[in-house]
Amino acid sequence: MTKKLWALLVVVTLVLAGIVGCAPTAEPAGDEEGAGPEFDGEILVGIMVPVTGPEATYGQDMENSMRVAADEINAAGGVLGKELKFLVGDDGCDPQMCTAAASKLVSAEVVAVLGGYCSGATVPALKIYGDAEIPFIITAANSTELIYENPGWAFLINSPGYHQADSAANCFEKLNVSKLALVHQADAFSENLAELTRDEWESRGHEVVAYEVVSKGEQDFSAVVTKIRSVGAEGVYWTAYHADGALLIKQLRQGGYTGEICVADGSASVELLTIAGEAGEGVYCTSPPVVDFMPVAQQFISSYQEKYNQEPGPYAGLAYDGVYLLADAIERAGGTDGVALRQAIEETDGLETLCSTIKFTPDKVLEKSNFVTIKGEGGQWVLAD
Amino acid sequence: MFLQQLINGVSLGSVYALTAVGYSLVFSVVGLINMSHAAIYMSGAVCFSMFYNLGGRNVPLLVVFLIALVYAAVAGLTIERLAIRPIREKGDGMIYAILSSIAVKTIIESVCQIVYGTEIRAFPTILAGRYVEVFGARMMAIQFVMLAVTIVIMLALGYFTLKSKMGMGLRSTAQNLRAANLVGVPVNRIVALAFAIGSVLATVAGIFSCMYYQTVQVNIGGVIGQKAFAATVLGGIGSLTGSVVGGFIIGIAEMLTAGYISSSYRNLVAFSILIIVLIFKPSGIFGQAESKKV
Repeated sequence: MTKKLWALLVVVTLVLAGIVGCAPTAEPAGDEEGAGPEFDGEILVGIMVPVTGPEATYGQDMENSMRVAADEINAAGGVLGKELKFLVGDDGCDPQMCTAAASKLVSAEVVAVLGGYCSGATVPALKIYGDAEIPFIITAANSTELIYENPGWAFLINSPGYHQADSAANCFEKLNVSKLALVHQADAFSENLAELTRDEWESRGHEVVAYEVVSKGEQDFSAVVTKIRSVGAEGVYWTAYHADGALLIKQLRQGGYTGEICVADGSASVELLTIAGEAGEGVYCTSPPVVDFMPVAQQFISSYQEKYNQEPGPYAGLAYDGVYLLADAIERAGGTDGVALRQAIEETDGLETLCSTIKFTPDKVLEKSNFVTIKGEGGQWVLAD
Repeated sequence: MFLQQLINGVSLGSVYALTAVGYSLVFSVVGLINMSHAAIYMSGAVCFSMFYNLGGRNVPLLVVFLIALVYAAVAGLTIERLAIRPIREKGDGMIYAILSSIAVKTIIESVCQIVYGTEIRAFPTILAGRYVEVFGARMMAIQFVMLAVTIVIMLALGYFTLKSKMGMGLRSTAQNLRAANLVGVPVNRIVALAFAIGSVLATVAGIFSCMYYQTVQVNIGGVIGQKAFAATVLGGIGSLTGSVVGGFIIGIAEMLTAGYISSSYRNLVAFSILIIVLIFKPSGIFGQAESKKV
């Protein structure tokens, strides 16, 4: 009997914890009304980001940035005289939650949706928005899967992986590298990028002299380092993440490698430089357009800091840009009709935003890469010319 | 390149060897595969890093090193006393002791995760940037030190087990625990000693390899644990010489594979060697086939 009571108690506690735990997210934060311009109605836009779960920090950051943009737009009179308002759908970086979030936004009759952080939790929404004829501006997720699955209503404003391969090749060409070594970590992302870079590099008439993999959790890269040195590589491109990237950089320098090193966006963290120490000086990185490196983003950074009392995160700039892209398209479409709005977004021709010049290819991805090259200097990343 | 890869292999092998000896020592005395061993390897290095940072990064490394060794010895004794001896004395069979050591491993890892965090961090090193040229190949000074330390420790351990009274007790317990007990060998103390020595060796290996890689993280025990255990089995579990030889074989095999075939095959080849040796000599290279009386 006591056992049953205990079990009941546990279940009740869990259920209550669940209810309480979920409650705060139902209220979108920071939607306070101020004394502003008079509006002739409102435009409701959906935000689909993870605001719970392991990626919540990034999702929250994206939502914050969008609100900064909306505040600015509303303060200047709104879009077509209407107030821009948001409704948040939490995708939790989970395909199932994503489906639920997308259905919620569709039934709330939003005119368009912004967001999409985890590619895996963005793909399931493509068809839902497509069927409902709601344009979807994807501000962070950039898997090529999104391009294949796009029913025609989604637009990607973060550069896809092949743009990064392109940027990496540009970076090494600038550094006069001809013999390149590629090192990945055998996960889908880093291997895919290594392959794309290899193809791009070879198509430009250069040589890939080493194509190596290191397993996760392995600390000893000396075999790879020795091989890289013995084949005479002039440049090394690491396509995986910062923790092991720092180890590789250290061991390369320790092992006597003196050529150029470049790392991919997964290693763009300042942690990489902290751990690598001296060896991290002069290391290049192909980074997504983080606002810290965007000279035009100073105004945005200070508004963000003022409103949220924290620094904008890695995808903040793109999220902010998404709102301006949408506002611009609504103005040009002269309303919020789905078909007209989609066409207006499609016809965007060189809209200058914080992170990119927006013009889409027929695949609805950016025509020009918005990856930037940054460089480790004095333990910090700085924009490399 | 061959010589360079050989040097890489030997220095990686010395880390495996030091760790493998700990497995072997405990196994030879109580017949237990101590699954918490790799966690000691990691926590010793983490302990070193913590005390180094606590002391404002200017405490002499030797002092921090000694603190870490004391930690390792105490940890080894504690594990034996709390998690292994009660089970052993009840005579419940080693399978329960193995499970208990898995629990210990998880506890140590969790505590380190909570106290130290999961992020990778910089680790102090010695002789940074110094290296010796060996026929055109480059051997980092720290690699050289690691190898030297391994050899010295192995010789000392060999001398200890052959000549000292405790060492003889260790060998007699390894031969037959019950008989040793009957003739008055303090078996409990001997087993505790084996745990303490094994833990200290694992910590030495952990600290030196982290000095070499100049970083530390709480997940470093996983891969090393697997490899060192494979080295132990390859060399013949229970044989100290076997563990050392096994460690070097696996280290060198890995590096040559990575250098001449592809780094994605290094683990595949290392573990294939293990399987092949076990097929032809199930007790390992230096192991003695055990004959069971029915």
